[in-house]
Amino acid sequence: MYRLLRKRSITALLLVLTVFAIGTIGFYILLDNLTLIDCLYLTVVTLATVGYGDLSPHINMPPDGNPYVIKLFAILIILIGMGALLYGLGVMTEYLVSGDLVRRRNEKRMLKLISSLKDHYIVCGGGRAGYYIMQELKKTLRPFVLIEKSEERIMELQNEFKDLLFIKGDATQDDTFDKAGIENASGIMAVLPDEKDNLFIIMSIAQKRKPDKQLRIAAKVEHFRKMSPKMKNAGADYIISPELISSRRMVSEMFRPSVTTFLDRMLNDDRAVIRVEEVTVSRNSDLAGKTIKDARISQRTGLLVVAIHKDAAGKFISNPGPDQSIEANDVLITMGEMDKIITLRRLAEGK
Amino acid sequence: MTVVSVGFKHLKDHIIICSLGTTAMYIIELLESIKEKTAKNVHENLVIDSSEEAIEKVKAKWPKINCIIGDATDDDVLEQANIREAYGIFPVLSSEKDNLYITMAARQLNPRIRIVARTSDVYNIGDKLFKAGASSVVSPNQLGGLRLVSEIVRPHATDFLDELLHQADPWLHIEEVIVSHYSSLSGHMLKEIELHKRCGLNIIALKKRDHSFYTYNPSATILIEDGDTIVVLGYSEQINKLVKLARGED
Repeated sequence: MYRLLRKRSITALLLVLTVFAIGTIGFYILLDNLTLIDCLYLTVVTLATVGYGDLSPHINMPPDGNPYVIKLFAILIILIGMGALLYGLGVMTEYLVSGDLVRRRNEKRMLKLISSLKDHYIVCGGGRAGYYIMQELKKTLRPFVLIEKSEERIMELQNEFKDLLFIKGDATQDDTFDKAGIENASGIMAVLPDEKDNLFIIMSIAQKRKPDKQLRIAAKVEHFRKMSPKMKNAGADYIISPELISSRRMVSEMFRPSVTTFLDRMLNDDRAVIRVEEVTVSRNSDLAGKTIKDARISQRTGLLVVAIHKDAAGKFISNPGPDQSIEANDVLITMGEMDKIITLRRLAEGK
Repeated sequence: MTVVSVGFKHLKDHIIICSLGTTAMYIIELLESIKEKTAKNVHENLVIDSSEEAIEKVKAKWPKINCIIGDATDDDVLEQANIREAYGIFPVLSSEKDNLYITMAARQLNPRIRIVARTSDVYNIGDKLFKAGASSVVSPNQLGGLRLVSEIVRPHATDFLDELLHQADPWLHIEEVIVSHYSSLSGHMLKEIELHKRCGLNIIALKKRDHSFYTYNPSATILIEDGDTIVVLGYSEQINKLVKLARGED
């Protein structure tokens, strides 16, 4: 965009200069009693539509000059010159305001998109952890909005995440979350590098949380023992210390060289994104009140229900048989391609 | 840099922890607690850090731990830590370059050593660490980030997977069973074998004998032949029944 404009403004400038040069030289040849400076002056006065009247093709026409040729030349210079000047002016203005305009238009469009999101996730902090989080959200086809302070980092991430929805701003400021559509969000992940910032975010979100809306909040900390109780108090549903869990993983890797399990291979399948996922059966869903066989889940989605979680029982029923009943609020655990899982989710939501 | 130490030639099959960052402190805590719980014949732990202050802190907490004040990227320091006879090493510095260097040096000095390295960039640095000789590479940001997403977007499924991975009793787990030539399952369509009636299991995936990939949620009409691998998730009792069926021992 910018490069194109720059090229066009150079063209416009050259065009204007050429017209001035032709005008000056043309008048110099046709009106042989004037100096070059006089002719440049005449051209400028003409093209600027000033016309003092001290010099003019008419007044300064030499006795042997052809009035028609001179007048035609003047008409030509005026028409071409005005055109070139107007064009140049237009390009210059566009060049000056366009950067701002394009950016503002994109920002507006994105804010509109974000405000139309439902059940999306908000990632606070586009650092390393945020990067892996967004990658997984993208892979599993979940909409998300990033809140990130640094413009440079946003641009870096835009290379990897096309159509990245983001709010450039400070996640520790309240209105940033309103812009990110917190009212309709399903989850928030506070993964700024400083755990105190994350605590601050959790505290301010907890105040905005509506009791009727499911909003899950997770935060990253460095010092688990110190920060975990504070985060819990502030309202976090899940608190993680990457250092703590990775230390456990590292120690187990040290002693028990890992064998790649079926699950590992499944999660890293390069033919498709396969995940173990869950869907909650809503009251409006036609799955509710049926048996697995009658709900025809496998025929309609190509998925197998691996386990059912019933709130009342508080545990999982694995390998549910064809006669297992499905009720509202049951959580179905399944594994497979994400598009199939989304189909099942729609069924379960009753949409 | 002066190295204040006597050398640790007497240590054998020990574990070396390089630097005392947050991850390292958690690792030491875990290793020391393992040592406390299991009485004898556990690995000694040795810490290398260039800061005297950090070392003193560790000493205050675990008085018997072996320490070297020095730069772990210095081969002499590694030699002094008797790396040639060590069981394993954790290069867990904050600098990627240092971890890469230590990994390389450790592998050169001891071909048998287990190296579990830390990185924050699994794609670029992770590959290099493996090439340099790491046995395993862990990225806290990746591990933490993925876990965090799972807890937020699929809390129940995460619980379920945890149950699978923690070998609680009764043990729910995933098993891959190969169908033998003698099995009555062979030569039948999936819906005909009525696995759920016979052992209470559903087949979550199937690998055909000529394929290298799995078919997840196989359809009811898929043909099961000898040599195919059946993947199921269930309790040991159920799986034992299936194993017998698949071997043709029923």
